[in-house]
Amino acid sequence: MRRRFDVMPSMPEGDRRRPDRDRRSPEGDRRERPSRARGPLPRRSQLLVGLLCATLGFALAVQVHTTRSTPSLAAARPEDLVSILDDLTARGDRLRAEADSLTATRDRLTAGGQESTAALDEARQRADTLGILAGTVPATGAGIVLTITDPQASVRSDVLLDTMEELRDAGAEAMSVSGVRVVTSTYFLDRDGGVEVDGRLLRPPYVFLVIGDPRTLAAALDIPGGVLDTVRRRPGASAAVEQQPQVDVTALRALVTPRYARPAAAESGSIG
Amino acid sequence: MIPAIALVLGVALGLVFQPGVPLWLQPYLPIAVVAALDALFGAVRAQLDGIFDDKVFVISFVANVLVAALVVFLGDQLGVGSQLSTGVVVVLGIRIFSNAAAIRRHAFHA
Amino acid sequence: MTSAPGDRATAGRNRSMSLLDELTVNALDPGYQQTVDRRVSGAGTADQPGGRRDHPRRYPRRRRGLLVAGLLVAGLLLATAAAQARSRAPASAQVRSSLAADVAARTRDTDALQSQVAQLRAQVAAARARGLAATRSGTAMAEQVAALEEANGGTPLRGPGLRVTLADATLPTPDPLAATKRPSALPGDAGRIADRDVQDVVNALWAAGAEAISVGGQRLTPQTAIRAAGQAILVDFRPLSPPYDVIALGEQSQLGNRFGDSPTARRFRTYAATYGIGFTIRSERALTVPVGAGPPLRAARPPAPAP
Repeated sequence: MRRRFDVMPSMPEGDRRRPDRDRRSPEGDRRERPSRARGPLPRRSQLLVGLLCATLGFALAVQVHTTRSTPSLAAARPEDLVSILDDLTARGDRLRAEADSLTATRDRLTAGGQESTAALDEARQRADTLGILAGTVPATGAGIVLTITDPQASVRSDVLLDTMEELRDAGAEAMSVSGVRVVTSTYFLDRDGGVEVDGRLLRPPYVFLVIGDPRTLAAALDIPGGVLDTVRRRPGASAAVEQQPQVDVTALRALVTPRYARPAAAESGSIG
Repeated sequence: MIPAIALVLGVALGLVFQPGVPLWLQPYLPIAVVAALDALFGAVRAQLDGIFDDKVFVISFVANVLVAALVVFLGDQLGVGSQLSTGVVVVLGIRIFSNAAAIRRHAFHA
Repeated sequence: MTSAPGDRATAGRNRSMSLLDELTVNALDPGYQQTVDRRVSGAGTADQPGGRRDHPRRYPRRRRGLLVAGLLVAGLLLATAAAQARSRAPASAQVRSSLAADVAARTRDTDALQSQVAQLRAQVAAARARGLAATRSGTAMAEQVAALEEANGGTPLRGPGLRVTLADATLPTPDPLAATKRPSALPGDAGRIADRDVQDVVNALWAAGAEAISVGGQRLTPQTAIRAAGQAILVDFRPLSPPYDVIALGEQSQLGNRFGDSPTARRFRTYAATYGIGFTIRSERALTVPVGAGPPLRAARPPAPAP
């Protein structure tokens, strides 16, 4: 119990003297401790200490990572949490659908052995799908036509950007705005008398051709405070949605190969 | 030396594998980590004081972690979880600080 | 205070010590000193350190009965208080916390699913390449598919680019206890990053010539949207946690200059100065973006070949 006085912050003296006193400790002690520290094989208790330290380091890293990656939902209201849960369910469904189709494809490809016709067929189909997404081939299917008329040019790029995000969220699979095919990298910038989309100046009216489930798409645009509300609140602007059994998205886009980004090894990169 | 290597190894493992924390463990892990850090600083200081003992360290480490988790658990059950956690962190924080100060005095004689 | 007198009796536990002193003074686990003390005093008689000699006392039977009764009462008290606290907590809070737990669990589940999908994609790509390697037309096809995959976020990419970080404004929280209850005590939402803000930054980065973008570790593809649910920002239906890291691959100086001069970046610099939101742009030589989502198409198909 003496220790307590030795380590008072105001008294470094006692502290420094302390080890000397310990070194003068009786024989029994001295015989034991050095062997512990210098023995060629670590003792079991030392291993235990090491194990605990490793556990601590592990827990520390895990905790830091968890704190960073867990969404901060402390402030979320129950209604928001419910809608987030819905979104996560949708995410799970999408991922499962993707996983199922990928598994089927992989099995078909590996079952065919060296037969290249099966692989060729699969590749063609895949190229079609990817081409629709990348805008290199035309697409057709059920969908909607959204027309935004805006004689006073009061609808700015932010509204169009929001529209695109809302439509993507509602499951749009192919889309074009007034003849410009929408792809991953599509952007909207404000310009005099119109909006620049991927380098082309568009003037109103803006016509979105969208392929996807028509009812879902229309409902997404029509929510209170949603795209239609926003457009109608701009002076002179109006918006109309038509659900159609067939929409043809014919605008095309050349494939751009990245010049600076290179394929990286997949993070969980077991291939084969 | 072993403990230092083990600590680094543990951090590395955690960073590489980045495992998810099971839900039931989530409220306890942060406070357990702080408690374990306290035990670690105590051990470093004891080492410098020349009174380090493996057994004491192991026991104080395990007990610290368990007690910290228990306190959080009890606090949650009693509806004062966040306040109690704050208290535990403050107390452990002060201990870590004063141990760190002692270590500093040992290391730099200042 | 003077140096400790060797006499242990005078240095015994001083009950009147204030709490803080007690804390700083007893910072070291007393167990260490006790073992040493025990070893020192025990060295002459027995060579066993840490022997059981210190604990000869066993409670007399009567005392033990009292102890058991006391513990029983304490346990009862605890249980009652716990039950009380549980019933007193508003139902909404219970619902909220269980909902939040569900969200966390499902986020993790879908994350696991996502990495599984990434793995499957790599396997399919490898199988396809193997199946097509035999013929020249096959190889050309495989290359075409690979290029298309790349354009749709189907392959992880690595390269130079920008890392733009957005963070909610941090306000000084006067009371730590109050802060744990209401972490969102911001005046209005001026200091909070909303989905529009992230959309805006991404938009400006595409306009600046980015080749691939990920937000909060989620790769953007033609099928991913940036949306909000309440105050949480979701990318591809996954809630993100602030700060939001937007990674854009592309030529460093062009990307940096064009994005830095964009109206969006200027606006965010003003926000940072006015509301204290976090807005940093870092140019880095090696960044990676992961594989993005690519669920199968349901509605869209290529038009039937012209008759």
